[in-house]
Amino acid sequence: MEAEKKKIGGPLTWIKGYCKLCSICVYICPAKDLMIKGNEIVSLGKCTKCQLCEKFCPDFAIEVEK
Amino acid sequence: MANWKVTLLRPDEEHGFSSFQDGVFLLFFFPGWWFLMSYKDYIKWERMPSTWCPGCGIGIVLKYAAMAIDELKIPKEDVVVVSGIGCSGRSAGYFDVESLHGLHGRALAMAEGVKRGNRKLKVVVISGDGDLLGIGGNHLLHTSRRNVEMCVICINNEIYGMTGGQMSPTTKKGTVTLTSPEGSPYNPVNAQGLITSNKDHFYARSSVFHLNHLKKSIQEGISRGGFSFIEVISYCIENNGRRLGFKDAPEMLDLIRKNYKVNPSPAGKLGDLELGIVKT
Repeated sequence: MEAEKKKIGGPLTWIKGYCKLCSICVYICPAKDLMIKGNEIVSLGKCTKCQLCEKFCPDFAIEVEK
Repeated sequence: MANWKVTLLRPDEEHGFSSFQDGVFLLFFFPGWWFLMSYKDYIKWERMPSTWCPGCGIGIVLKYAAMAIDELKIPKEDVVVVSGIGCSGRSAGYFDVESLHGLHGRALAMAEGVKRGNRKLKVVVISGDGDLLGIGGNHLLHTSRRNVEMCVICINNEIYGMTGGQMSPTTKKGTVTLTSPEGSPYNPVNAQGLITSNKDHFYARSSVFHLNHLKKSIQEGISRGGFSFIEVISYCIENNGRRLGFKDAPEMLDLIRKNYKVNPSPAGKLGDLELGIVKT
């Protein structure tokens, strides 16, 4: 089963089918780039590619291009 | 072998870089294929999303166990993941390697059987505190005494999470749970003392926040060649955290960050709020 993917700006890919909106990525992001808006995760364009969100996400729901 | 093109293009789909023939074939035509492998090849993507609650720490342990196995370059055929019953017992089903999910509390007994049946296999046990220290405490005593080669990852969330938040053997004294509304009256079980009372021991305590330490502990545990016990401090937000007044999972993660500190060279014993590796 292929999960639904969505580019949310910059190097970030959000996999909607896996995400449970636990907001760990929002808490962990040192640049305060991510935000939950309604039922979606949005990026404010401040990503520094540190990959902390990808490392801490328990559901494999966010990917950062290197 | 027949689907090698599919393998090359989509490594995280049905046909991973798994079989020996694939390996030989690819190594002949493309010597760098080994570096293309990532932890994603060890996880069953068709089963995702997982059944765990939003923000549960078990997903992080699943990811880092897969990463540790991948970085040690153990082929898929040589790994067996065993798990018991409980929330964390489901993790064996998400690994794309041979896995075993059996009776409550008997994960260590099954793992020892697997290991004695085929000594080449690397056995990884992923289970919770209720399964390993509660109902399976007797097996833990004797498997660690016999020093069977396996890596035990005990995800300790200090509660019986799956059944609704009852007091477990690792609940800290004074914690309000479903079955102890005035605070738990007992002291928690001392896993470190149980393991390190054996002459030949490996005990590591890590947490779901200290990820590099977690990965390093799992790697050392797998490559040790004896019984290794890794206690991973986790949390339960839905059945314990909300009762204690936490709003969401990041708040509990923040509490772990504030409370626990890594001790890089512990002298024989770890303190209550220290993370580190104690080994002989």
